[in-house]
Amino acid sequence: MERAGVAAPTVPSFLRLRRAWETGVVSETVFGRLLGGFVLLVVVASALRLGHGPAAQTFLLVFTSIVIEALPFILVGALASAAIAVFLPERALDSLARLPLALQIPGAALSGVAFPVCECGSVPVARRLIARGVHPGAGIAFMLSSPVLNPIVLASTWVAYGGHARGAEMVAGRASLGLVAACAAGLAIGRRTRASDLLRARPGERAEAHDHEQGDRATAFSTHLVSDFLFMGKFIVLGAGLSALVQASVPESALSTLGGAPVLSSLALMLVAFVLSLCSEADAFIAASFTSFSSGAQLAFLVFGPIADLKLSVLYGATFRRWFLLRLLAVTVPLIVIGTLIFEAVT
Amino acid sequence: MSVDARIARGGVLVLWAIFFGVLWETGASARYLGSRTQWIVPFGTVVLALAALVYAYGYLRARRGGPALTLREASGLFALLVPLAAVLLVPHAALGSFAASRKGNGLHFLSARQSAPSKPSDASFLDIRMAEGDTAFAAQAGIKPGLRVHLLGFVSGSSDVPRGTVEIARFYIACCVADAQPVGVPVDAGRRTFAKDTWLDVTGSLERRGRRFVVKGERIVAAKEPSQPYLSFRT
Repeated sequence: MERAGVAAPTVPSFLRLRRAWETGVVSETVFGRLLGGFVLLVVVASALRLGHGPAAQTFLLVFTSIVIEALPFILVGALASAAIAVFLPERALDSLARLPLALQIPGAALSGVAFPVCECGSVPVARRLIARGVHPGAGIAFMLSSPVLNPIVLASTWVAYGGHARGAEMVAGRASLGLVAACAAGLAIGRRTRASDLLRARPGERAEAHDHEQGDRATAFSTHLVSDFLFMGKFIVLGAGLSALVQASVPESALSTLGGAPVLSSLALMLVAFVLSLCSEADAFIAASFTSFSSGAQLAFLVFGPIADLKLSVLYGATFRRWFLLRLLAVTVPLIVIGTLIFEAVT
Repeated sequence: MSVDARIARGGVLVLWAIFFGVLWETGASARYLGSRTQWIVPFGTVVLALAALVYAYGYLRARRGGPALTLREASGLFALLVPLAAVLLVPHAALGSFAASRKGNGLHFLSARQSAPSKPSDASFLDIRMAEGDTAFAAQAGIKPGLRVHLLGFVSGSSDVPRGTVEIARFYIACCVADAQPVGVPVDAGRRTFAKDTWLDVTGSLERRGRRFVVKGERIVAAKEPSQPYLSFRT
């Protein structure tokens, strides 16, 4: 019981705002006003022809095209993730979890071959696998390897490099360095990390679990599916916006002429890959066009792009703890640079 | 009274399914995706529609009161509407000279080594650029000085062209507009000048000027932007 005359502890205003933001309920009136305001904003912007300048058009086109291309794959990832959450028996992953980590991680990385979606789709699946008991290291290895090792990506790499020996070299280089980078990241980041230390809690997850516990699988599946899709989707929108902003404001030549020396050129193309946020199923056509760069630097572009880019960074930030991206970069960047030097030496 | 979050989520899903359906039906997807990734649009339409149906089924089965929509979730749902608003803002937008100045030097995709055109006179922008540096391809495609070509492109404003010429270009797409790269061909238009982004229909003969092929314009007329402004390479 509160004593008279003693003031209740004051909560800082930013914490109150944050709490209101996270838990404040939107009434029908407020929702109607928000929706009306949004529509009004679009109508006014359209009337003022705000999107008709060349820079704005470039931004809007790149932005929408990245979202249009990525969203169906996010949905496929969400479908797989929901299926794992609802239909996979509780003990199905136990046998995998009992394997020694030295087998689990490469096994998970190699299983990426069977998941032919790009990097946006693999994040929700990896998250769900880790949440369901797969070792975090194995989940990370799967997430990073599937956008590189899947057959569609390797086939497009082969075509982009004109097939024959050159195509085979680049495919072999991409697959092997991608596999090594995925396993190394899985081992370095996930080895001593618990799932709860790696994954960020998501709003609404308790309600999903509640649906699941109720035993109605159809409801649980649809809840998981849509909440995963909408959760990942909004971060793809944000990431695509950032990528489009950079593409519309910074000339590509300014990025691609950063490097001349072997290591610098690899780092420069990794920076280009980070900014462009291309789908791994198409990036080989761009990589192959950097003819002024060595094949090693092109390989760095091909391996690094599906591991980290602007849109993925936003997605990682929403899925994993904040340190994840930094540790991922700390492990993969030096490894990829070394790998490309070896690749250049042997080809 | 609060808003049922499930209805708001379902609404966003339905809007995206409709959007993909419209892209599919109208062919407007060509403004965002390349020919090899066009399948994403019917695929997305079907998958999004199925997801909306599954969600509606789950909602109807549950029937009990759902979670209330929070400010945080509402902001996320509105964020997902931003791309739809962007398309409404500029429904007929296409990359032009500004994007060409930002997106590379016109040499991209040369390494994709597209197959030769069926007839030399069908040579496109990329064929002509490839023939400049690849004599084997030029011989195979029949691209040589004197060949009559017909090109439709926009004035890129590039200064990296032989003196006295103006470059017309088209964007080539592998996957989506994010990877679009301009490929241009210089045109000798005499003393005529053209504003950037003007679409030109050019018929003329190829001439060699230094390392570049130049189209000696015989008929140059302003044209409307084509319904499919981007090109894809043949493999």
